[in-house]
Amino acid sequence: MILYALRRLAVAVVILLVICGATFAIFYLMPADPAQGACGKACSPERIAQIRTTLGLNHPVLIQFRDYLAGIVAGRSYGTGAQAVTCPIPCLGFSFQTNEPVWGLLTERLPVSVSIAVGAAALWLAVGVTAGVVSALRRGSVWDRAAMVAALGGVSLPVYFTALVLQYLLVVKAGVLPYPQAVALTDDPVGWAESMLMPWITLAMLYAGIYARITRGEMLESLGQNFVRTARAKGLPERTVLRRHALRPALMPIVTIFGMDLGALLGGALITESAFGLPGVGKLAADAINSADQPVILGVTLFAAGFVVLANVAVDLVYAALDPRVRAVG
Amino acid sequence: MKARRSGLVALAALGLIAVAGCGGAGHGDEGQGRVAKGGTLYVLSTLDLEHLDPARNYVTSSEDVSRLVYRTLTTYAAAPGKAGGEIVPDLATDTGRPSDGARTWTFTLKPGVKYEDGRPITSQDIKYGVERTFAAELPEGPPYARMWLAGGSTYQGPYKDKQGLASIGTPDTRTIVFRLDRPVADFGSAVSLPMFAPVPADKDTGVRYDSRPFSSGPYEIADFQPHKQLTLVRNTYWNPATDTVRKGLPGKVVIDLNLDPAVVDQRLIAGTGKDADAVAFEPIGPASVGPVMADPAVRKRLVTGDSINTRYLSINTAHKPLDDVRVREAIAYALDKDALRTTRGGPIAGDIATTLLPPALPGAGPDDPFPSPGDKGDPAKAKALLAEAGHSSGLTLTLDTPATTAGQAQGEAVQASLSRAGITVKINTISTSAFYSTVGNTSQEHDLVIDGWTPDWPTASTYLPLVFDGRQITAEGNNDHAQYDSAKVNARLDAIAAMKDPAAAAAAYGELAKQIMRDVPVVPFLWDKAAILVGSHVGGAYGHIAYVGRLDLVSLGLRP
Repeated sequence: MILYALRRLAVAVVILLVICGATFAIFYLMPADPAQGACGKACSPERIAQIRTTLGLNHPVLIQFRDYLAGIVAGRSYGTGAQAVTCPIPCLGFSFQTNEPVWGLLTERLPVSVSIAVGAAALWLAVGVTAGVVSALRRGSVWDRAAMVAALGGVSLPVYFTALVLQYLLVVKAGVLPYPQAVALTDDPVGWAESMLMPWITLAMLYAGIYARITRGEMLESLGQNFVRTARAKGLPERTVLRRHALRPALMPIVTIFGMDLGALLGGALITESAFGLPGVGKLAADAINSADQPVILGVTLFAAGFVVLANVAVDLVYAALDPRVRAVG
Repeated sequence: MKARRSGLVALAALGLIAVAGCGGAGHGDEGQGRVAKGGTLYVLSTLDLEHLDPARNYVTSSEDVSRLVYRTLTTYAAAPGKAGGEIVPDLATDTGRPSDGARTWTFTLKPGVKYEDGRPITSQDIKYGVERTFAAELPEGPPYARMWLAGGSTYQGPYKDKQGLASIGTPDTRTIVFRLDRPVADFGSAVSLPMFAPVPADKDTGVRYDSRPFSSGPYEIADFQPHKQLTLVRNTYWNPATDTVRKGLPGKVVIDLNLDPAVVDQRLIAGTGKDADAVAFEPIGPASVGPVMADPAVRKRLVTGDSINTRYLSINTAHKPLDDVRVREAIAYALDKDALRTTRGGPIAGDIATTLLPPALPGAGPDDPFPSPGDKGDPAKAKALLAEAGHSSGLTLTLDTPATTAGQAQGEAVQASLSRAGITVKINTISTSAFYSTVGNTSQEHDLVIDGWTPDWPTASTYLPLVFDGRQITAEGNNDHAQYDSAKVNARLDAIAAMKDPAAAAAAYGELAKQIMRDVPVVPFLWDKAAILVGSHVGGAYGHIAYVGRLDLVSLGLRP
């Protein structure tokens, strides 16, 4: 089991390295020149050359990439003399815009993204799985049809639209909620929940629909399996049949997509954060793209990819713990 | 919004400035009692603050904010409309005393001006602040010190060269003397830029100074979370008796950054709770124009400001057949300026531009060389000109436009209006972050560019010479997107730059602008106005032309 876990982690590191290299290459090919952007109008060629040197853009791309990777594991420092700034481990570079370490920018915004992702995930799991199970059990009923139409609606509504409608109804018209702000859970739990409620609902509407449909399908499939018939034939109470024999296998695919969805959301819910003006990792990415702040874009990409890869490793490990066959094959 | 560097226009052209306006100056003080000292003012910004470090602060949005925090030798008057373009003394006792044919400029600091820790502001600190702008570590600032100060082209900044720049003299702690390598008639205006704010050498933290500049104005920085929020509190050592411009009324100013534009409009239209003490930083979006104008109560809270930004279509004269002035005239006649304005929100977005200089600039005069009924274009005249130039079978041109909603809408408006004259326009959208570096690269720029310019201060001297001097065309970072190069115009620009009387220079620039318009390197189509929502408790609100119509933050106050 430990060997299996190590193997999975090694693969994860390789995947991250490949992502890092690909992202680095893409930005190197990008038309936006950070030195030119910084220099502005009436910029002399000598001045541009000086700025390139200061930003470390004068080295060949492979050297820049090597320095970048070295910074992640060993930290690095920029500039010389009294103006030198150090970037501690794990150094993902410095923002061209604010001259702050990218790692600091990311970790400062992470609580907002985690608040949104975890709360929304709890909400959509509860609503989506429950609706899917109930629909499967009452297949063809009015409830089933209504739930599946609602699910389709939830999946189809763009996050941006839902966000604005919710804010209009709950904040402007009803006045029951404040405009979302970045409130820390530890500072003001009520304010935190009030601020996060609309983002949770917005995201949950999107994901709950998908989860309800998948749960319903899986549940229907397992209800048709022989082991469920056997369990019923043994005279087990219906409740036990459903919980232990039908629902469990139906949830396996849910665990897989849940791991990936949550991982992706931890790396920033770009549109949701932008629509509610919440300064999470996704908003950081959107702003960095607008201003061609290459180190920040690169940092967010790696950070988000890291969450997805880690979530996949976690899912694999959970699988392996549940099902020894996976370990043997993996 | 990126206003001032090549960017200025930037924001503008990028459509980031979603402009709107209904003419006239601000009217935020009507009724409901007078503003008083105290309270917390909230500013809801959809933009980021690019740089607060005075050496790097070169966009109008950051300059509007930084005027709360630090003072400069001179500054703009705190007034709506054209009056805001007047340069008045700030830290200095006057707007500068030129000698040696405007090659030497002397300023004296007011007595009793202090920093946030109570120490006096000295001329050495101003000198140090200017020297910092030469450092490659702090690259974003204006080029004027490097261009004009004697020895400026080789000086590397105080981090590499501890000797300092000899052409800035400080005979005593209150006197500063700038020696320039050429006559500069409006140097007194140039020193209103943030780079002429004082920076004490012992407070300089290099690139980190950006997040905590030392205060010489009414507010000091209590907390700054980049991309999120800036909190300003009163600087108790700021003495209003030494400051004729800033009111410093609110006890605290909280600026929320990077908010969603639709959300800011929605919040300020509702204007409930703390949002009654809030103002928008950017103009309302085109989608909010309808709801705001339909509700008299909300409309009353809309403040409109003039801007000195001109939007225009640049025509690349280096490409055939655009080197033929008749083809350029045809484009000028064909362009439907009214349709272009509609893409930005209609008449509230500003006035149709008919020539290069916006009316708020000194020297600007009425001029409309290519008139058309209702400013909707004159395709018949355009066709006739094209036929005369030998293109009766039509033309195909490529237009560069930013990949924003506004940029694409403007591109389509150009496409539709030129097609009426038989010109087929292909639209090439470029991501906003790469837009100016692409069209500023002479080998990558196409035939037409959705473009514009905001002068660095309200005179034509930071507009015409930077955009239409053909000798300044560079392969990269080029501002002359028309690649317009006229020996006559270049010579005239030199002659005007050498004039010592600013009024005579302004009049000469006005004449030169008309002359350039006859060569049609660009087709101006809009002079922006900004329509900005303010909360019901906020008073003293007016748009300032230097901040492209954004509210002059130093004059805002709250009603008790």
